[in-house]
Amino acid sequence: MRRVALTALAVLAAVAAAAAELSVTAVLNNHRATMGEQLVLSVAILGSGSATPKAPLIADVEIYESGKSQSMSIINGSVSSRVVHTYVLQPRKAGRYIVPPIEVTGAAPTAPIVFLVEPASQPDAPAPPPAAAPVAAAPRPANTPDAFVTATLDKPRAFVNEQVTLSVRFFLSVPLLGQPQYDAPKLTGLLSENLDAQGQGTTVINGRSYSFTELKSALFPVQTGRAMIGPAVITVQLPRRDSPIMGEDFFDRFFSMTAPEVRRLKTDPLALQADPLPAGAPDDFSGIVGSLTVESSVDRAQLKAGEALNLTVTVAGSGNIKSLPEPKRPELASVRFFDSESSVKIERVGDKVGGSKTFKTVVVPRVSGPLEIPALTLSYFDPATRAYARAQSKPIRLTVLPGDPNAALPVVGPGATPAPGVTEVAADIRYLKAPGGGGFLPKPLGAAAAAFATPGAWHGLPFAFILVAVIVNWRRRALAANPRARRIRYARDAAERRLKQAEAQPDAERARAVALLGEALTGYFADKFDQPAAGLTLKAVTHRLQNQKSPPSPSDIARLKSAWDELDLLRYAPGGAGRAETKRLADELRDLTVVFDKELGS
Amino acid sequence: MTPLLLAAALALPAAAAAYDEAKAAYDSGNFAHAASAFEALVAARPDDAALHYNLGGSLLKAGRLGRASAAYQRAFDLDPRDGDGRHNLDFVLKLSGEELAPPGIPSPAFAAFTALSARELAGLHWLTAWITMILAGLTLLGNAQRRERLANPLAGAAAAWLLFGLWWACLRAVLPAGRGVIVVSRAELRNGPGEKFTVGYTAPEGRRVRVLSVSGAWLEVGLLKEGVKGWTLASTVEKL
Repeated sequence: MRRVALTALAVLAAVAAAAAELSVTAVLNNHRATMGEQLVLSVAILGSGSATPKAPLIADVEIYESGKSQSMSIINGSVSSRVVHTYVLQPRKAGRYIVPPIEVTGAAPTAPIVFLVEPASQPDAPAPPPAAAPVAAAPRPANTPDAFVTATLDKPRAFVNEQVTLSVRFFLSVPLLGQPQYDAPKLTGLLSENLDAQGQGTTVINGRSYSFTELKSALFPVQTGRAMIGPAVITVQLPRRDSPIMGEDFFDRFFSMTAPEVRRLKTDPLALQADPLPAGAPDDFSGIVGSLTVESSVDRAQLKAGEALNLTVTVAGSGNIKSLPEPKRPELASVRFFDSESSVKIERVGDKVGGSKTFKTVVVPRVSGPLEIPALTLSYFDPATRAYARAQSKPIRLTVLPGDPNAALPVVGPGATPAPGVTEVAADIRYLKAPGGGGFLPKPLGAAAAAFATPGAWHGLPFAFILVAVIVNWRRRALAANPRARRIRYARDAAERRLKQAEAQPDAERARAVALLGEALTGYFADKFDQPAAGLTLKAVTHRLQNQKSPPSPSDIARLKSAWDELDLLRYAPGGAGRAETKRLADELRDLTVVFDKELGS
Repeated sequence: MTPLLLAAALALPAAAAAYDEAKAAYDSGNFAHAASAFEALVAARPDDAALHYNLGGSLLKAGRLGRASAAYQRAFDLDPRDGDGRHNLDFVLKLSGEELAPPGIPSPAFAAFTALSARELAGLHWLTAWITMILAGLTLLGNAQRRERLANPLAGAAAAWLLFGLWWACLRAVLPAGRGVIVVSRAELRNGPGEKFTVGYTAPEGRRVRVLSVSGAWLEVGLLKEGVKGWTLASTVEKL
């Protein structure tokens, strides 16, 4: 029991180790194609069958998964698994494309694969109508074997992506001993879609009766040129021709111990010539060779702005429906389209593959009002007429009512970005304004700034003012630094102050007024000569004046003497001077200080 | 009432009627008529930013991108704090491959920088200059007590003067004098003032230029965004 448990543990460990060692490879069947052709991407995962790669996304390339094959073996406890996922790539326009690295959890990503798609060109020689081409005939055996297998195509050449039907017939004229094993032919440059119908019947060949079983497949060439269909192989167990089993006696058959004969029956390889599609494909060409119809519908005809609406677009017809792209959405600024989801329904009618592909999209009108979703179109190549044709849906008219202004656009699908509550539909300028508003700073600052904004020489006034202030200040400082000069400079100002005091004396103080007049006169000359006023006599003053570099005029000195003498007389006169006399004398002294200021300088 | 005030009072109802007529034309979709009506209003009141703004909208709707850009630029120069005017100018500039905010400068920073118009900054600069000079003069002429009292106002006025002066100078550098706007669908910038010179560049309608020099009927202009220059006919540029 313990040994069994250990063995099971070892097997599980081996399986786990194998699963842990994953590797992924990606192979593209061709690195160069022309428009209308398809490419086949095979992604092989070695090590585990549970991992699934994510289908690559390439802009302007329609990609769909064509199927997967899986094989697994356990040899000596070692598990080996290989899963191959097949993707079909249908470019929408010419250019250089890159298959991005394909990632599988637990494995290193694949390297990017570059491929080039060239514009479709007119074929050098027009291809003969495929429908009129002779059907490839199956080789008939010259003799009459017990069993044989044949493979035929319904036409030897076809356009890229046009359906060709492969028929494999297994003829049998003896009973089978065991279940036959069928190995489908290996295809190069072709995609295959099984046709469900399995025909059976009987026929006589070279006088021998055969029963036959027929398997049919729809093939689609993915690129121009020569596509190959390898041999189909059926492994059967047949009775030996010389064995008793061939006899009619039941007991002979029952007791016969002769082993059956194992035979591998093979068909001959077949070639198919794939022709390019004619030039001049429309912009909305789907790549489909067959026939299509497009229908669109909505789940309601009236809704509010900001509410979601389901738009269903169904493309149906014959051809390689799996590779159908979504019809191009109209450019509507007032509508937001969310990512669509598609589903495929394959139908087989007789030998033809067709079906429908349905695209479901959520549509959210942004603004209220009547809304028309225009016709959706998709073009295809009709092999019957050998021309491009266009399928078109009918336009859909909706009524969009005003929505809740605060409602946000719905979030649709996993990872969808939430839409803001306010969505700009179309940028434009703003409306008119009443004249006269705004334009300048508010009052009073605005009014002042507006007044001062006027350019002109008048802005020099403050600079002139500051210049004057600087000069005055400089002179004031200079005088403050020199007391003698200051005394001389302001001698007349001091005299003027005394004269005003004298004039302001009341009548009772006439003597005081005369004294002030005398102080004004002697003080003036004392300041001018920078000497004490006490003891300053008229004689000393006149002597000093006459000794100046430019002495005053004799008449001015005479005026001075007269005023000085008059003051001396009044000083000792009883009652002093009257108001009028004081005023007159003050004016005379004022005038004299002006005269001597000019002559003595300041 | 003086004759000037009387004339102004009499003109007010007429201006209001003209505005109503222009607005009605705009509302009815007759944008060409609205543009000519607003042009007449702008000629009468060239300092009204709203009238330039309305003229810009009418010209744009009438398909005159270049002239609309010029009108919006004038409205912006007069009233840079108007959000609608800023939006519309940016809108028309984008139509001609430009943006209001220079490349690399965030829009809020540019909005703050242009919050005051060049005229407002000029006025504030001179106003603060006057205040600074007068305060400085009084300080010089005053005694110690007055000097102490005027020290802080003088420092504030001087700082404001410096601020507005620098701001004004920077704005003049960004929005220099002698600007213009291309008003034809594709202006040819030649390598000299005449058709005998080769075309060096073409400029789209609405693109702002700076007029560098004049030679007869030709202007030497520089494209503000690309920094290239060339000669073009004066009729292809509307000076601001």
